[in-house]
Amino acid sequence: MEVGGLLPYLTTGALAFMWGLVELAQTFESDLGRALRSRWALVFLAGNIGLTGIVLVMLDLAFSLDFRQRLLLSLLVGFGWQALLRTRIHLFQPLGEQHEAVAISILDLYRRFQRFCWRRIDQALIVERIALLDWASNLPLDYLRHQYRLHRHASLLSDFEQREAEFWKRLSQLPEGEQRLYLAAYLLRIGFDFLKEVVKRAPSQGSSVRE
Amino acid sequence: MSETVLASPRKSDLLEIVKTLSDVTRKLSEITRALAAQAGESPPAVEALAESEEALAQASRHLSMLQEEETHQQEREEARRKLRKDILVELSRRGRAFPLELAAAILTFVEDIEPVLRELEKEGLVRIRRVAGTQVIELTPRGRDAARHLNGL
Repeated sequence: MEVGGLLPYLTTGALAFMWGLVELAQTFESDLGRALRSRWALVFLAGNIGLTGIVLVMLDLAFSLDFRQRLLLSLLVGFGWQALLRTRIHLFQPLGEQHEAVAISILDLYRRFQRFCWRRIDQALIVERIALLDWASNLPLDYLRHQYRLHRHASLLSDFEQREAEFWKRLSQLPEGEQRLYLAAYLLRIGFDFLKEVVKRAPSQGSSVRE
Repeated sequence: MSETVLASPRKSDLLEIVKTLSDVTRKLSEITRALAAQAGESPPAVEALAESEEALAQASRHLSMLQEEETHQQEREEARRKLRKDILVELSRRGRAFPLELAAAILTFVEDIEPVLRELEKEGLVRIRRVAGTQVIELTPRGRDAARHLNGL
């Protein structure tokens, strides 16, 4: 096949990729970088592109169209089919039982596939977070306290000022392990990469930080 | 046609009234006792006044306690409202979290946020999911709207 013949597929593929990316960004907003690094994000993007490609192939085979029409068809599939996949409204009219059944099952399949990928990405992200929290909660308490104070002063945060004194009072009454856990959780909330840096810079443990 | 609306007195007003009555009764009791001592007898009015004085003192103590309880209740309610707001705003700012993360972020403890989270979940403002064996809290679309509103955006 000539390069020109592949252009509609490339166009549709690029649009499907963009749609998938936007969807990932909306769902994993706060952890987008890490979500995109997950292999399940790649599986999702590849599946999205593959499914859209199948629709384009089916339409391409069903109608004999010239190059310009095929290009328009690729845009239509890239935008229209992708929008249809993401709509919650039942758009299908009973044009024929067979057609309807096929269309609905593809939609259903896509949603199941999407949910499956989301769950896997979610799990991967959570497991990473828990592992980092676990790691950080073994750092020396003084170091964690210092990092907490540094962050509070550096960011000039005035949030929860009224609660802070009470928090420290109650925190100091907890066992040391729990104090470390709470402080590590506070630092994790600032950001996964932030806590990773804190762990890296920690005295005597920096060399063994998990990447 | 005129209509008279009688507002029910507040606890603090009632407390003031009872305290004043108690003071008046005490003074009256003192005067009556002094008069009775001069006359060398103890009329029943002296005892009645002493009883009234005691009853009013008790009512005053009771009202004080009620008022204190009401103040504590208001403080607790205010703290709960603040916690609800902080949870929603924090989730909207930095996305989903484990209970421990969320509690630490708003400088409180898991046991403090648990009842509030259950309440928010019942109202459909947050969703609590189990992912990889841990609870993850996230805002629902309604919760996002509420957080935006609270954040003044």
